[in-house]
Amino acid sequence: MIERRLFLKLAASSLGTLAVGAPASARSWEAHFASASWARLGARVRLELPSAELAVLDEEGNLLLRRFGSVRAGLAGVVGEELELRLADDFRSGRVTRVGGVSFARTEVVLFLLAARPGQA
Amino acid sequence: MAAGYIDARGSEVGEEIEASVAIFGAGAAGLTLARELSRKIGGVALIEAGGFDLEGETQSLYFGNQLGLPYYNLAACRLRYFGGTTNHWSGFCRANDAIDYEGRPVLGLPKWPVTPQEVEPYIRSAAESLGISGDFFDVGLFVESLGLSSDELADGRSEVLETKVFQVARDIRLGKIYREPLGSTGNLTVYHHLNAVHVRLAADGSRVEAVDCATLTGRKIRVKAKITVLCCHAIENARLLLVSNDVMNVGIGNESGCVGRYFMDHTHIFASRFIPSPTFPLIYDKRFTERNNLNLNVGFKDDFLRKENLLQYYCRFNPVYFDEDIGESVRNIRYGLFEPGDVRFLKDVANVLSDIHGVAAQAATYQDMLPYPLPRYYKLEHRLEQAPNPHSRIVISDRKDALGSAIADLDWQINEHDIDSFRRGQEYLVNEFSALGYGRAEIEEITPELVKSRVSGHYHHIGTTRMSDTPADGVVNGDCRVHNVANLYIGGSSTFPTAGYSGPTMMIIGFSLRLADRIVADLQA
Repeated sequence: MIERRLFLKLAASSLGTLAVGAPASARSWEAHFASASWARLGARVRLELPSAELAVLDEEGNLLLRRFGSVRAGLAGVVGEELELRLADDFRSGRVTRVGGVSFARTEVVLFLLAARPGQA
Repeated sequence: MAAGYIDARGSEVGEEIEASVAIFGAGAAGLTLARELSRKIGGVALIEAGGFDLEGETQSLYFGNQLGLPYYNLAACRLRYFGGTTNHWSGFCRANDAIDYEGRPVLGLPKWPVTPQEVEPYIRSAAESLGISGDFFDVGLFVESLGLSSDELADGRSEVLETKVFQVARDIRLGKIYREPLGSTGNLTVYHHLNAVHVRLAADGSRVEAVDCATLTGRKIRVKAKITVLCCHAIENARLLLVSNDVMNVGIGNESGCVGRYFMDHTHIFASRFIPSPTFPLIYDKRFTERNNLNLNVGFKDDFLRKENLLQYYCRFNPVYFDEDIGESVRNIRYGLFEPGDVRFLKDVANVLSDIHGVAAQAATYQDMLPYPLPRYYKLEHRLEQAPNPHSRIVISDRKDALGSAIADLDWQINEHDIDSFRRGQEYLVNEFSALGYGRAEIEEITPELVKSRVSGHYHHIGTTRMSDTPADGVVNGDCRVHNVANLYIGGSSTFPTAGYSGPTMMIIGFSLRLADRIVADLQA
């Protein structure tokens, strides 16, 4: 029988883990970017996707950069309503890409690849 | 035993029973019909094949082989005794949606020969008789009434999603509920342990003259009535019509070959995972809602179903906090499944400690002091109305049961519409949940092979004697009377042309109330 105080502590700790380990939402993207989790996902994208598709995604990344400047600098502008709408539109239009078996919005994947560029993370 | 009950194996009954209306089968349909008719007319006979509890010899009459996709044991998924299959009903109730009645030919869904507006008062009465709210249609109000916030529902944030709620009926063992009141009404006699084996038509096939019945003790009894109603369950109704082929050589009501075909169930498969974000609405967590005595699912709005040509699809989110091997270790420790000195105990403890966060999170779902913990992921349970399929059917075998009657086998089949709706239903749902920021999905490709290897039913047997406007498309008309047979009616979910989203029992009761009105009108005419 687990001791009650220990049980509550473990339960609370578990909740914390879930919060940290939760997938990206628009609100938490900046933190994810800063923690380099995007960069790791970007590296995985490079391993998993065929080069032709990567070339298209990289070009979309360049367009995004031209719009927002550097990803870091533009992030504050990107994160917010526009990005939420963009992601939602990606999902609703079926513009999704699987990375590690998980379906991400295409815009997310573009950001992962940008974050994985040298000097970004 | 109440006065109105007669054991057909005894000497109390002769070789013939006469009645104004003879109802065969004391399940949800037969009991409801008997209760309603006996309030209005005299001379009603209710004939039940079984007794008042499960009896092996009687139940064995339901054995049959499976010729198609794996299905449940046919002698276990339906019950042959007073109360019928309500004796293992879970009590989930929901009214059909308007879209279920309208017919969508591109999916093979026929139009019902009745309108939802005509049926609605009967469904509300059915709900009342089951002790649940007749207000099915405002999910927000319903959720609020349980102390939950309707803001969590996806309906207001999404143009395509709709939350669908089942209510849980309190009074679900209809055999026990109706036994005493039915026994004390002077207008009704209940004969038990009496099996219908053959429906005997007049020589021109236009009327039922009698139904030949038998007991397992060898007695043969003929039941003659002005009106005969078969309420014997979807497989058995079809079997009786097909084996009664002495006048119509294809069976009764089977001129167009529909009897026994279009067998449907509500289907489900488990596939894919959904990894929740912190904003995932707990109202869609199956464990959370069940803790609130609620069965709540998410599907699509009618307009979206029409636009995308989807069958009724909905999804349940089953929380998973740790891997199955850890679950086994938790069970071993919890139930103390060890001998003294068994070192496997240490292995199980180590296994649990390796994912103590997950184990603790699941344990926390049982308490109210802390916020409800999100799981590691949700296992997705995709549920679907089955598309009507003529190849999914009852097949009469060459084998005979203990009464010498041909045994029914089941050839359960799904078709391309089922697979397509599972596939696209999953895709649209997880994409919409992702778009709403509720998390991300780990997708399994839904292929015909995956569906066929995982698909299961729900003991909801539907469609083998379906309603239709004309004999070319079905077996009974909108009044549930067999086309071209003046005095033979059928009750129960075998008459439903489509399966819809909802469990059938409350709908069966509603349609039986309606059938009672039709029969009274028929007798008066």
